[in-house]
Amino acid sequence: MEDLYDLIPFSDKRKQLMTTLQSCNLPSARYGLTLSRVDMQMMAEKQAEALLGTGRFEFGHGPYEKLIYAFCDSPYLTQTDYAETLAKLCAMFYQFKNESGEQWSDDELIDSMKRLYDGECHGSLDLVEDRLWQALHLHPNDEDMGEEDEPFEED
Amino acid sequence: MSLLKKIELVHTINLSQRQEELYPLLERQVKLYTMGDSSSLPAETAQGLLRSVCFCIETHLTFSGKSADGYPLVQLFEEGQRDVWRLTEEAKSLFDEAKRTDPSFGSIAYRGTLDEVEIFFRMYNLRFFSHAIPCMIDYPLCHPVPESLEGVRYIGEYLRRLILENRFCGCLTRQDAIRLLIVHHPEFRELVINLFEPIFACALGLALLNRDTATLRLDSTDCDRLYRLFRPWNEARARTWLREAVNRLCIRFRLWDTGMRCHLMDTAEDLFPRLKTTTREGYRGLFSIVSEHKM
Repeated sequence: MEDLYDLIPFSDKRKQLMTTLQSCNLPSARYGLTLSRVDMQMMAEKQAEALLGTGRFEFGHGPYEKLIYAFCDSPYLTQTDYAETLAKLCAMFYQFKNESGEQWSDDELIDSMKRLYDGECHGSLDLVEDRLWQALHLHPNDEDMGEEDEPFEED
Repeated sequence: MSLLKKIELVHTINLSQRQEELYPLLERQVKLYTMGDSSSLPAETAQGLLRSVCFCIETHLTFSGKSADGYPLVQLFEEGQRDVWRLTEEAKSLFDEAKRTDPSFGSIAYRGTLDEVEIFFRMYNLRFFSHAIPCMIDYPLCHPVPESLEGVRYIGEYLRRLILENRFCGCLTRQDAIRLLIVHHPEFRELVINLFEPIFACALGLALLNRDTATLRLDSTDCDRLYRLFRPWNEARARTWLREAVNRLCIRFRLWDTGMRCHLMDTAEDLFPRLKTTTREGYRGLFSIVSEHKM
């Protein structure tokens, strides 16, 4: 893999990521969620670790921007664990990109993660991971993963 | 050695200093490959896309004879993609010719390899993984294709060499050739061995003795004569005799093209060390004796 490592402008990408994260503070601030400079650096580190751990290469800015836009209105996110949760979601994102064998697009995966997180998993990342794994391995044909059940109709 | 370094050495192009051109090219390929669905890729896939970009650039530099300096990489890449497409079309024609010239000796490895080449053309992804060879080539050639060739360039060269072997074998009757192959190895159909080499060796032996090469019949007396012909060993003299024998074969079988002549000469040259060192008994194996008595 030495060619790719030689080729990718890692320092430029890090700068771009920091700028992107900075710009994401504006929409998330409406929900009382912001990232400090230290948070951003921690998140960039965690993303690099996740990429290394999953053996993937990132050619865009990574999933943070989409994760922030998707998750910032979640009732289970608080400022205290905001950065840490995003870092964990990012690691989970890359893990399931691999697990799904590229079957799930970035948007589909983030959408499912958000629906599970806000829905049946009630803000538990462990449960989200478990449900995603189940969706992939136990119910691969279930397309409405994380969708709310139809309202129970009383007779 | 990394792929970039290899290309740099062969084509004196400094890709390391042209990263700012190469990386956007790779990014573009990633976007096309994922159709915008994913901004990241597994390392193997990303590496494959990069290899394919480099393969196209290298192919264009090789076939155009251009120097990379002064040309944008994106232009070299796009022209390289067109070259790869053209090579693929050429390889398809070669494949048709390989099937047409198939000597039908019943070799399983040969048949299987032709089936695999057909799979190659179905699976070959010249847009994103043009360097890859998505099939298994089992049948060994007398002169193997260099491992350094990739993608359709490997397959094209393989087929080109296979056709030369087929054309030579096609100059002999199937019955004689099969009789010789059975002597060479009774289970030649099941074994993964080259079938051209023993046939050529026998024809060459006959040509060295000024006998009719089309019969493919050598006996132990002939082998003894061949052994004595090269004793005492004289390299220059042996080389001359082999060249003359190859010329006789080309005339006898009306094989006039340079490619064939070079191929036969190279094969004869490969026999050189064995002709020099093999014992009298060994000559019998080398030339595959068909009959103990002259026919």
